[in-house]
Amino acid sequence: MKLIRLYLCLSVLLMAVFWLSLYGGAVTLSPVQALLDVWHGRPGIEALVLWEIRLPRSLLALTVGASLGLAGAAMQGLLRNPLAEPGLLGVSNGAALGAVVVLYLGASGLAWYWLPLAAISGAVAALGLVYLLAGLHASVLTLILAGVAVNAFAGALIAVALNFAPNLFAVQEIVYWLMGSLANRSYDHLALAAPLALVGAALIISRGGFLDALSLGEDSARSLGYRLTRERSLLLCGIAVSVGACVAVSGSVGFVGLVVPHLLRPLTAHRPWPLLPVSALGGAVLVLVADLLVRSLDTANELKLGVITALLGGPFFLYLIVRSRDRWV
Amino acid sequence: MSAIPTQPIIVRIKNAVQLKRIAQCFFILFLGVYCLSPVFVRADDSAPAAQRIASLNLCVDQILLQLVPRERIVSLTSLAANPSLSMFADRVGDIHLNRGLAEQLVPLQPDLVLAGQYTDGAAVSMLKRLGVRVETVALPRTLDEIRGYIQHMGVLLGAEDRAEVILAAMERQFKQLQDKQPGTGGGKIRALMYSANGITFGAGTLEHELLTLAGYENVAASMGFSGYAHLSLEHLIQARPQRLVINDPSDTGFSIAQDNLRHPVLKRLVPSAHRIVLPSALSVCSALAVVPLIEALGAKP
Repeated sequence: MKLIRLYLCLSVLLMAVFWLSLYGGAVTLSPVQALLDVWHGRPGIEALVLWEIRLPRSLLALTVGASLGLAGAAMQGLLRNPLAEPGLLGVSNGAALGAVVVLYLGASGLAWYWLPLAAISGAVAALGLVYLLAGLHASVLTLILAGVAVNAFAGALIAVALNFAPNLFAVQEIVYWLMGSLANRSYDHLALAAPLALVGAALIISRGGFLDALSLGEDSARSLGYRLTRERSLLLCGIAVSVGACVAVSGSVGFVGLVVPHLLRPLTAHRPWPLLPVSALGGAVLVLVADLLVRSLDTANELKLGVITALLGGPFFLYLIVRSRDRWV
Repeated sequence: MSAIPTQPIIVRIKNAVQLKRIAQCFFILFLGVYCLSPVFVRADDSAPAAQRIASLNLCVDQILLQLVPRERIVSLTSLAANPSLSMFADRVGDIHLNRGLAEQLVPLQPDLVLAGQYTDGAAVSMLKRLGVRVETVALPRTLDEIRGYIQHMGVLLGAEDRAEVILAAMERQFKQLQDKQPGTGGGKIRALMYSANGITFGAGTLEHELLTLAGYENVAASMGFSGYAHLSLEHLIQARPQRLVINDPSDTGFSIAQDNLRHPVLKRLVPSAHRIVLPSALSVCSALAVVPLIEALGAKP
């Protein structure tokens, strides 16, 4: 019952934030009026702005936030480690590297599926590296060190790839890929990311029972009839697909997967499986709010999305360290 | 100010002497600047025109290739050979290409290095320290400046005749364009020029002059922008331009900066028949391509 109330609360919050996000932008307009215009078949400028610019952007923010929140919760459950997060462990940067290579260095006229495919491969490679470096039973310290290494390496390769790109603007766009942004995204990007994000989410959520069992220990999970290798691979696939699909269109937005599950975990009685959908809802709310902030600030060049999430996530990360320093090391 | 009358009279005289000295120094400095300044270099100067010229700026590359024979050019920027950035890429041939590093130019022993206004200052000061003559060329930003610029470059490079030919051709083509222009009766068509990173061109820019010459009303100027300005997609939609001129400074490969030029909303707002895409090689150094640019702008009714 308590869980259902939590779902309801978060869903209502999400809808409210989503509606609010339609108000955010350079032009002042009334979404109600714009929707009425469309309904009466006289689409005007307001409807065009709402329909073609704000709606796809808000939908994409929702998709990206939900995927990152979900991926964070799944990684924390899988590695049984409170610091696992796609951004911190370099999975996002790995995905961004894949996307950068295809977009900037790939031959023009590549089929559309190359972009998500490369981003997902990048995410898989980064995840694999972290696994190799830290292993499954590693301490938080080892995991974070492995994550820092993979993150820095992928970031450096992004810089190298952009420096070799033929386009004159490429080098300046490092910030976009490392910090993420949803500026000027359209339905094309949504159509690319959303279906894959859904596939990834389905994969992750379908393994919820396994995550619950795993929280009791590997032996318990095995004795409950789970085949560990298979379950883990499926989960990793789900994480890589949802992170890869989102990063390919938004760049890597950090800290969402860390902050959201941490904030919501106590509300789900520390069970990994209910935490998954809850984190997806929470992640969507967080990214929508961050993006609304980015849109509303009147700056010459839009602030990057990752700047806001890092502003929120950085202090939170410090708080986590201070609170449980003794427990982790 | 109030402190001066309380000073002894001798100090005041000293000050006067100092003032005179400072004035003399300024005069000498001014004379020096006057003589060295390329604007005032005359054709009949005893110094022979430079025979080994190097360039550190893409736009300078292009005017060099127009004005002087290739034998006199020892180095151009590496972008000069890129046909999507340079109008004269096919003329580069085997000329040495530099990446703006002083150490690449010094072994070539140039007797004149031309730098742009925004060329890396470190490279310029390094070259000067090594005794190389470096001229910094301010790129023109209005049609009037273009005329002065071509003349100035002609004098600087000892190619006045060639500069005159180019200028005469330009004026002739201008005149033809103006004759072709319909009378200014009725409202003008409202056009907006939009470039990578959401940059638009307000009053006071060359692009504004080009749009006006081609017979349009520049929406960006009407919106109150002057100079280069950032225009969000939402404001662009609100402005409702009738023609959209996509000024794409480079069409080599993907970039996020140019991605907004491909946003589907632009297709919904302005039908493709009313969109003008300027060739990227023309947009990079628009000052050297005013005539083809105006022709391209007027290509669609």
